[in-house]
Amino acid sequence: MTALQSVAAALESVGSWKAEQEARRQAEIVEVESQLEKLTAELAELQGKITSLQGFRAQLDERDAGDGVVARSYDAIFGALLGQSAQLDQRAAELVELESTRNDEVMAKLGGTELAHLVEEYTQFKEQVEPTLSAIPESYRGAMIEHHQGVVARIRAALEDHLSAPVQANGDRLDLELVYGIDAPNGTPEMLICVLPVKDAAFTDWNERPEDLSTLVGARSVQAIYEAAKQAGPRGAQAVYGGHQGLLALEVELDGTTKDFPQVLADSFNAVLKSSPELAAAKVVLSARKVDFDFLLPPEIDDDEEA
Amino acid sequence: MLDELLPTGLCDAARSLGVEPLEVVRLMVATDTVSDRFSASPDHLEKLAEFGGIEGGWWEGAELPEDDNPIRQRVRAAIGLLLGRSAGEDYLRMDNLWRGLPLEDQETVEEAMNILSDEGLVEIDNAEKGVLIAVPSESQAALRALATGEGESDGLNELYQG
Repeated sequence: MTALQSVAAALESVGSWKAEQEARRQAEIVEVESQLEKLTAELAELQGKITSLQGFRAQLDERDAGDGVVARSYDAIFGALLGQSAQLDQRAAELVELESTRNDEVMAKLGGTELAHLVEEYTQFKEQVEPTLSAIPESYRGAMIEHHQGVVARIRAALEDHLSAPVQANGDRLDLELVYGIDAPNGTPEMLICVLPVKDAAFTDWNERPEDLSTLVGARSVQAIYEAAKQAGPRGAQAVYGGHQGLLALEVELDGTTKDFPQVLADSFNAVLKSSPELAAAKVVLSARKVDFDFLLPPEIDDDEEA
Repeated sequence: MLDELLPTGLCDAARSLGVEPLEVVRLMVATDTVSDRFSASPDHLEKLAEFGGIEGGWWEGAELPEDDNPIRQRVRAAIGLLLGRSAGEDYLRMDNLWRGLPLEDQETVEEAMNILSDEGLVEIDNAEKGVLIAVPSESQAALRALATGEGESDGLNELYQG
């Protein structure tokens, strides 16, 4: 007869089974945890490699866009504009000579016109009266100067039609470009930089040199900028100018302008530069070219390179 | 000799107004009076000067304070001139402050005004009329002290070193 198993013993075997199960589960958990830890470490290592490669990739992009394209573009732009400014200087010098000849001819013809007596009076004042003015009593002196200024005004008014028209250039058409960039890091324009094919001396030494075609090219360009600012803001825009690489560079802060300023400016350049009578007479076609803002900034000097 | 009879151009207009040529362009655009070759008749110049608040002669008869440093002497006088010309907190055309001075002094006064602006003692505003300057009421005492030589400013002290 088979001995009967007690309930207690039966339950005890269940307990043993449960203990074995628990031991196996714990061993499996340890194994899984170990695997997880290993994979996590491998993943972290891979992530580190990815981050490192992404950084290297960014450095490659920066190197190509910065030291490469930006620096080369800067050199290319200023090199081209310097070449154009030399041609503009040459055209300006030709026009000064032509204008001088035209003016001399007009003046020479004055003798036979109704202005002859005014010119004679003018000449007499300059040659005989002006040198002695300081010796004349102040009340007489003032009256004489006032009369002379009236004579000058009458001659000027009569000559205006003959002398104010720009002289026609003889040479070939001259294609020039002004280059500009707009900094708009957040979408709204913040700064305009414009570089002209004009030697900076035209404006930095304006009081020491005669006004010429270079002066007018600069003035028309600035007119277009101010016309655009008048339309799209900013109120009271001020163009700060100076020389960069020997060329005239303009900088305008655009705080308070609108997002459509770039289009307004492009339209303004187009309208002003194409309708300028003195540029047309000089056979100068000046067009505006927008470039990446960074292309107009001098490349940063590498500290190591500098050392 | 006959050059005087030739039409006036942009640079003539600039000389006549006592501003730079590009400021003439700006004023002509602001007043819708851009002309061929930017020439300007006396009436036109008067209109531009009036619009821009351009005045000359602020230094005529102005006395320079006694000071052994010529830069400080000029700046103190300029601050005194500014205080004398400003009524309340009204804005004045800033380059009136140095118009007619020798170039070096013009640059000194302009730099001094920019320093005072950085230090919050004057307010500078780019307006349609041009670059304007105003003296806030709370700055008047400090500016008066600078003008009399009793006050000091770090920025101006640096400028005085030349």
